[in-house]
Amino acid sequence: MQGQTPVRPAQADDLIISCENLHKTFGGFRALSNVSFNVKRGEIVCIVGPSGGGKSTLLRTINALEEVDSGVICVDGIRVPGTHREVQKVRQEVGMVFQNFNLFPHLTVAKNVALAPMRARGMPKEEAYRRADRLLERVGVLDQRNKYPDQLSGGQRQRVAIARALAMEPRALLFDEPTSALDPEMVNEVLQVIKEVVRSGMTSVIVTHELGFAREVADRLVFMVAGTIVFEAPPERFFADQADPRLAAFLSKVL
Amino acid sequence: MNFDLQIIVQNLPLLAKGAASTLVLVGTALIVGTALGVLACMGRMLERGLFFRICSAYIYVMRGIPEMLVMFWIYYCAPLVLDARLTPFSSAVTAMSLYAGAFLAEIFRAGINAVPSGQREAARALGVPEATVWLEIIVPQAFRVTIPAILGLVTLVVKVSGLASLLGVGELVYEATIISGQSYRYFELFTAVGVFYLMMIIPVSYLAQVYERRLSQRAQ
Amino acid sequence: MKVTDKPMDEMAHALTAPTSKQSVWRGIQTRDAVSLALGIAVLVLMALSINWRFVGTLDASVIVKYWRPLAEGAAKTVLITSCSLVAGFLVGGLLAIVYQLVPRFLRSVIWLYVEVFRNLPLIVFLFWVHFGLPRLTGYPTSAIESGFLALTIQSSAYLTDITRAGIQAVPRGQFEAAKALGLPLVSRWGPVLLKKTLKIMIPPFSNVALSFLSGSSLLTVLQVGELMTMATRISDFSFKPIEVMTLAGVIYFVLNFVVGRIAKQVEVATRTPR
Repeated sequence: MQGQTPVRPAQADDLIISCENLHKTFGGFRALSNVSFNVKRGEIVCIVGPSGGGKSTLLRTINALEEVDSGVICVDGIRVPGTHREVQKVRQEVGMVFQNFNLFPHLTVAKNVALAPMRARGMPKEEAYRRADRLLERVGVLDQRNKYPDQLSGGQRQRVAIARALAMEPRALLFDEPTSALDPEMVNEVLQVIKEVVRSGMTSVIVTHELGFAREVADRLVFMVAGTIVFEAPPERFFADQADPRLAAFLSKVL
Repeated sequence: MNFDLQIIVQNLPLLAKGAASTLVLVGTALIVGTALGVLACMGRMLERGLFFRICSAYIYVMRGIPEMLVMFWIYYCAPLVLDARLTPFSSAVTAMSLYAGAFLAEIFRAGINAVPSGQREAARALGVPEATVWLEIIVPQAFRVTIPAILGLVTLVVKVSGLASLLGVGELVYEATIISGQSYRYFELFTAVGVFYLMMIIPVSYLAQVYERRLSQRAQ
Repeated sequence: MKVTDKPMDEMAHALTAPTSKQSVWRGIQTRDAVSLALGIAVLVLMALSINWRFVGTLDASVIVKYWRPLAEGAAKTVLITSCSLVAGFLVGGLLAIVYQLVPRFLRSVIWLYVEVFRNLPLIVFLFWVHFGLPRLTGYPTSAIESGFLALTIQSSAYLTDITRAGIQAVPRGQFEAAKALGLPLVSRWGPVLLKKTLKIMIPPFSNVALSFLSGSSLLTVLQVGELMTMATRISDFSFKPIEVMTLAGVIYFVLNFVVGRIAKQVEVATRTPR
């Protein structure tokens, strides 16, 4: 499965993720203000912006880790949040990779990856572990399969986390600042893996500070500030078109 | 004064019986107490409603009154209020279980809260059944964190078991009191009993400290 | 696809997910429903097992009749506990300071003292002090003297450890800095050490205080005259154990609550402003 030639399926018209008019407040703080956001099947969307702009919150509402105060979220035909069963189905179809990896420290690397298919899809043990091995090889950490997370480096842990998310064969992946917690020398190895994964046709939403990376992989970039989407465009227009002053200011600070 | 070792040697069988009784008492109380603790902990986690209030009340009351009072209350009052015939042993066990359960409920709750929320999120984000999230992800991690506190509670229960002698339960302190009363060798007997309790408790306490140190090292 | 065990799952979910649209069943939050159902089950169970006819005969006038001896008992409880805690603190504090200044060999002695008296059951120690010790020393002690001695020694063991932790919690750096500034020994230890030490000690100290407040009830075996002694005497005298014992329980609970509150206030008041 390693080194697949990047193939993008024809852009289907059906949306995998659609969010309309989302509002969310934390205490007195407005995390999301009237956010509308859509993702087409096969699309790779990168969300960028200053910290605290609501990017992570938006991501987490999609798989119901956060609940919106108002607005409609629809994932692959299922309304979120819904009944427990529906939400579970959504989470099985949409995987997530966290900034802090969140690997299960008391399980081996292999079990971390094999657990979900076994429990959520009832996959028999041998098959689950075989799938885990394939995925671990794909992300390049197969030799660590019997170790525990605390024996791995940050880059290796995040790669395991990606394999874990892929184990459920999701239809879309959400990446919440996947490299923000990594030491600089490990950022690249993880970005390479993410690049390979998303280019193989996985619908993805990536929140990131790595603008160079975003420019490379994204079909569309979204700029969020203070809970609203200020500007979105494909990379050529995003980085060239400086019509939006806030975007210009942000880009000049970061690039 | 001469330390009469003979009196201890002579009565070793009786003392051994008492010690065995103590262990049975402690063991039973811990088992029942754990069951109560788990229930009460789940009740507390509901955070709302009638059962939550009942469990919270149970925990606060048990932690705010002396264990001796609980024991006496159950022994003297329960038969009248509940129409139940309680032997000294069952009164003692009930009282100790109730007491232990309240402390364990809080220990479990603290343990569960100590597991980073990211663990829960990651498990849920994978879409595994909620039961898996709990039994395979959260509880194992919570358990590890609470081991020192649980060991501490075990020592507490052992210490409290001595109170059962006041109800007439034939555990170690009771036997020692009887033998001392007959022989007037209080010093020898209670020194021996003290040593015995220390031998039971100090290893557990030491283990708890070692474990606690290892846990705080791990966290770094 | 595996079929999720729905009822268990829903309940587990109810226990853990924050208020959410995810666990709503027919318009009612699963969590509320579960809590209510279990609560009613418990209450029904209790209602069925209680002998209500007997409960009707309970006489609340005991509160009025016997308030005096119970109040005296409560006062004695507070008095004995606080005196032995103070004495224990003096001994414990002293030992903790000695611990810092003394060579390795003697440190183990102090450590041994602490471990022995922290792990020894109070009831065993109490009997030992009152009935056993006089045979060794030749001096019989009265009930209250024995009680006081036993409580003091046991609390001193806890307090030695707490004080030591407090002293060692002050970063060496502060101590070195004071030394470097040439401050004399006393003023080195005084303000620099004391405030920080005390602040760290307060939470565990209040735990010890509360545990000894309840632990003082053990002194009833020697008929010392504190609250528990009074409660048992009055129960026997009046043949109304339920009323009296329950009242005693309430009093203990209130004492615990008050001390706990005070401790919390002190904790909050001494918090370093950020």
